[in-house]
Amino acid sequence: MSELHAPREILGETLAQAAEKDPKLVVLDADLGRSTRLTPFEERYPERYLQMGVAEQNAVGVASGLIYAGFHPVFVTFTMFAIGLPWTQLRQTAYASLPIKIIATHPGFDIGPDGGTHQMLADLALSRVIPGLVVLSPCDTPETVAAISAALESERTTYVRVGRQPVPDLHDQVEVFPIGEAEVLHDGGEEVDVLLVADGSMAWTALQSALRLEKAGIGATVVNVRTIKPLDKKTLVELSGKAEVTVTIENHSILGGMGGAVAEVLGEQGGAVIRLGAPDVFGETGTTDELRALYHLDVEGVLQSIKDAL
Amino acid sequence: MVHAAGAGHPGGSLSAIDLLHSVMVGWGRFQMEASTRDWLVLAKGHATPALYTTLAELGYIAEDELLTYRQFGSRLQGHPDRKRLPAVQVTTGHLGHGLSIASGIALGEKMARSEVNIYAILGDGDLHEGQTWEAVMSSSHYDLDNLVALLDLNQLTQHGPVEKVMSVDPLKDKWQAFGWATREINGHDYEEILTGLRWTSSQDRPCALLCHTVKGKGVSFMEGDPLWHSTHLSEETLNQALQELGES
Repeated sequence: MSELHAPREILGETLAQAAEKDPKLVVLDADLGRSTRLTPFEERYPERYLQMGVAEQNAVGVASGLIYAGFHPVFVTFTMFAIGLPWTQLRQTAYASLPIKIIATHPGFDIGPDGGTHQMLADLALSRVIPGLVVLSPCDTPETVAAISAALESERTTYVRVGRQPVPDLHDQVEVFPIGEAEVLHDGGEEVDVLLVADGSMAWTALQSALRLEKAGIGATVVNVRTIKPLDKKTLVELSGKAEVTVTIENHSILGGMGGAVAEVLGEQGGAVIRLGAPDVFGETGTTDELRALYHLDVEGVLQSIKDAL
Repeated sequence: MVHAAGAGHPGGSLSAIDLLHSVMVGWGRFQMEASTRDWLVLAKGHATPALYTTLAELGYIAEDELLTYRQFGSRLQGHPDRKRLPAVQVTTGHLGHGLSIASGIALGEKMARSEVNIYAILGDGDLHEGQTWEAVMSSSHYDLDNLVALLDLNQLTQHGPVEKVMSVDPLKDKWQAFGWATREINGHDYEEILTGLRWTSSQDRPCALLCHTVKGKGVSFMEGDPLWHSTHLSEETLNQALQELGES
């Protein structure tokens, strides 16, 4: 588990393998293919690699048109330019039930040194509010491969949030990514002090935090949400009922994202949630680790927040 | 329809109706019995009254249903929605999106080596949206010679004359500079429209027909008045309009 991998590294190869089986699969790039690691796809399928230039609104519109013409388009870029910039176009695509696939990298603080302009801390909020849109946030490389496969097989408009921050493989292999089902990454037992709920690269932070808590005599269960929408309400309600406190940890604003989604569900059940993530601020230049420490999203910060809550 | 609905967009519908009719009834393959159909993308999606009446003429909708336009539960939504009404080929609504979608269909049809053509009808408001110009750029980049944009240039947006709201001239030069073949026509003259459409099939590039039209065409009190962009028709104005259009 010690070796770290950035999930984005497998994007081009995963899509190239999918293209072998699906002759209708096409990939749209907006001049960031090197950063999103699309090169293996571009080299193997140049005729199916559609360069749209730095024009994301048009790219989403063209992807919609390609659906009408019988193709299976996948638009790949950074989260900021996939969800923020062409939000209205994405919303219209979902309105028309056109199953384009959006795969976006560099979420949240993962693009740290580029600064607050490029740190997308609102994509989960912006995407999950669109009716019918499926939002996936896998936690490591094997799960990202499976999430992309699940998205490509889905008949619904789907967004896959892919990490750039290196994390260990928390799974040996993921055969199937079950859309809509959360995963218990670490089971603390029938009655625990803390339920940690995380997505994406923060699942690793949650897992490390849980192991540290247990050494200090504090029982913790860790849930990898995996699907932000549709959220696995049943599992979350069930597990939160066994914990003293529920804490969400996300690489996103605490407003409207995964933590917001969990709070909505547990709030209806009378439960309380402590949301850890970016507060209501824009980011700034720094390494991902520096920014996580600033907002108490590193293991030490998470542990302190949990201890304060208990 | 607009009278029955109590609201709608009569002015822009009357400027586009001759273009829609020419493309869908007079020129392209849109008949119910057509084994291969061309694509119609109504980028100016608010001109649904013109689209729905054309679909009724082609037999896709019963005339009675036209009176349900914009009513709760109707298949005839305020803007074209293919999920509610399958005869609508492409869901549109927000200005600026339509040409991108048409461009994507054209790219797909070209990749599939089909002989299907794509016709997009844009209004003046579409030309204010930056996304339209992104689509103009990418359509010529991909040599989409199966794509025809018909620009319904009635020179009025909701707030007033285009030249005062946001000037778009010189339009012909702009489209040509982006690599499109262009031709100017009278958008209410059937022969000119059909000649223009015939001309597009001989071009090796995406084509733009700059169609000079009149907002509210055929109804004296609507013609050239931006207030008729989206205004309700009273019983009295309805009767006068129908009389002028010879539909009493």
